[in-house]
Amino acid sequence: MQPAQGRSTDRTLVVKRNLSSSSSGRRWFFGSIVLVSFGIAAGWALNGAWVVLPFAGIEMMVLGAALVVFERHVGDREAITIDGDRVVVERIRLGRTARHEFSRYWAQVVVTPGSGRNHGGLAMRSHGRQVEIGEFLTDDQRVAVAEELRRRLGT
Amino acid sequence: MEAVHGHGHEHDHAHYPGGIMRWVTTTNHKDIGTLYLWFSFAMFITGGLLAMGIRLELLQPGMQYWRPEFFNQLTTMHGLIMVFGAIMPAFVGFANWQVPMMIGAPDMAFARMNNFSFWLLPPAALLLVVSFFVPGGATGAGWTLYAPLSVQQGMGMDMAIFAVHIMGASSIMGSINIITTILNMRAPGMTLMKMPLFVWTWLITAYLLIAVMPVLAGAVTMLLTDRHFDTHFFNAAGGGDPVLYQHVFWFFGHPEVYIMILPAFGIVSQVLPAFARKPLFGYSSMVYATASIAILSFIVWAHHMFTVGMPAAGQLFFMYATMLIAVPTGVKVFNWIATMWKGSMTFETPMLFSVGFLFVFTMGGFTGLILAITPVDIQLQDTYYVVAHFHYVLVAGSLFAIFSGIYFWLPKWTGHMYDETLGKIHFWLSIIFFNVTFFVMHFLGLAGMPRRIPDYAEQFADFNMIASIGAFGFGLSQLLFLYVVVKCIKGGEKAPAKPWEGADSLEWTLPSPAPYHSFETPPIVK
Repeated sequence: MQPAQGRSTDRTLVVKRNLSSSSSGRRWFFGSIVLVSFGIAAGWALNGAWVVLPFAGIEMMVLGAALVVFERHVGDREAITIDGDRVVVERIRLGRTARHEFSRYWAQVVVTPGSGRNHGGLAMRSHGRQVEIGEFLTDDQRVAVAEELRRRLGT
Repeated sequence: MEAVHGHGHEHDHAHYPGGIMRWVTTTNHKDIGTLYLWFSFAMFITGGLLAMGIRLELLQPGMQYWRPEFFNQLTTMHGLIMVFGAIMPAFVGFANWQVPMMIGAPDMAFARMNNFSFWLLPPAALLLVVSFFVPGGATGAGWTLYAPLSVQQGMGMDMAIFAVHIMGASSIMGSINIITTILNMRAPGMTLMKMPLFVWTWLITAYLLIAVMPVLAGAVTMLLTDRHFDTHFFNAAGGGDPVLYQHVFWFFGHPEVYIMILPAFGIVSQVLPAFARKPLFGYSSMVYATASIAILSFIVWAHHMFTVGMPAAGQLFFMYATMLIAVPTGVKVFNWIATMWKGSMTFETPMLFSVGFLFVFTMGGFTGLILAITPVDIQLQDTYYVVAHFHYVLVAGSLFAIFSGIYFWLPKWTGHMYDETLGKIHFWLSIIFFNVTFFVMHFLGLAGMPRRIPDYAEQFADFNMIASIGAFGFGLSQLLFLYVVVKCIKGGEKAPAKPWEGADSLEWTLPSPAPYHSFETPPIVK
């Protein structure tokens, strides 16, 4: 976890992916492989083996699609803000934000432990409503986040 | 604002199925790595049995057991199965198991695609194996599937073409996954130049695979359309050019050789420092040498075709370009030796296989250098000298590195130590029988024995008998390997988190066996 910033009464916990490359890095990589792949295919096409070209196209489409899918999820995150007597959980998926508000005094943090090959879960619950959080986290991280949330909620 | 960085892998909380469905539906990188490795072993045994069939026929001169057509099928399918079914999937299996653990990621970037890319392989393997039983039998055109022979064969050829297509698609998806994982999911602090060399070699291999797989797909598709749709890409009678096929095939085929050896370099680069108890000598130069080999692999393909006919300038270019590869390869060999120099070396089985690799692979490299010389190659083209050369590179190179890697990481994978005595016996049997089998082939080739023939002149009889006895011994030795692995899976001394004193990459920070979901706490690399 990184050092906290902001006032202690108005703090947000953000859960997001760890990324070791930048968008521009990924674009640079894709551009280079497109150049190499189509360069090779064009060379063969000019020498009569044009059938290589559509296969290069299909392959680059699959690679491009995979990178687009990856890129679309780069901004996915969950922000949990405790502000006075309110707890706001924002789930951002594919750029869309779903906002869930709970009463700080009624909100419960529920951890389902993982067992064997099954992952556990982490959710915030109150008055029959439940929001799953921590999808990006491993089981140990979920437990740590749950403890941190409970500490901040004062439960 | 406080940020918690997850690993970028969304988990569903549904319970995973057990039994056989666990393996069919799994998206876990360790499960998929295990599937790849067992598939590869099954193909290794299948391809090995075909090799036994080849050596049985060649044990003595004269036609003993097989028809010449069936002998051709044996050599062809042995090559196809070993290259596409055994060696390549084995390295993908290593990548699946090791890359996420070595970079501190919980899994591969596209877990479902990972499952799909594995499950494409069994149907492809089935196509290859079943083709023996269709009218006309399997293709006997050689693993290179040269036109015009491959344009004329029966439906076994079509099955081989489809199998190659499917395996190619699997490789492409595997490569996309590996590249995306390595580029995006490294632990905080792990810059590219801090990655373990195995990860580097796989990053470069995956790039190579993506670059050349469309070329193979195009080549075999043109064969298919020549066979069934009246095109004439390779049919001289229709204005086509059979030599074009050779150019296209080897433009794929030579990088393919490096696709099969670069991950082996990566494994050896992990094992040698661990048992020499010294850091890898010249890490940066190893990375640049790997990249140089990959780049050079695109400009040497026609050294496979010196006898086909090409202008003297072309012969010179491809001869010198091929010789140039000895420079980065030499950098690697000297770096490995320098790594061991004055190290506190111990010789457990992984180290034995890596040192064995270094010794015999270098011999294969030297014969490659000899074959790069155009006038020499013209004499030795399609002789047993070439068979000896590429088996020194692919068996003593790729396969010995695979054995080394399996013994190295088996404690991490299973949680048990393997039987060291049996492992060492496996090594000594393998290296002795390997040399008994293939060293004599150099002499056969120098004496002029052509490859891919079921019968031969009396003068070649003695060396062929030695090679066949060596091959049977080598084949039987691999049953010992199976026994050691199964014994280790079933039990044995409990393995510590880091069973090898000098090992230092991230996977050794995990307990043994590695937990199903690794890196519950993301590591920080300093």
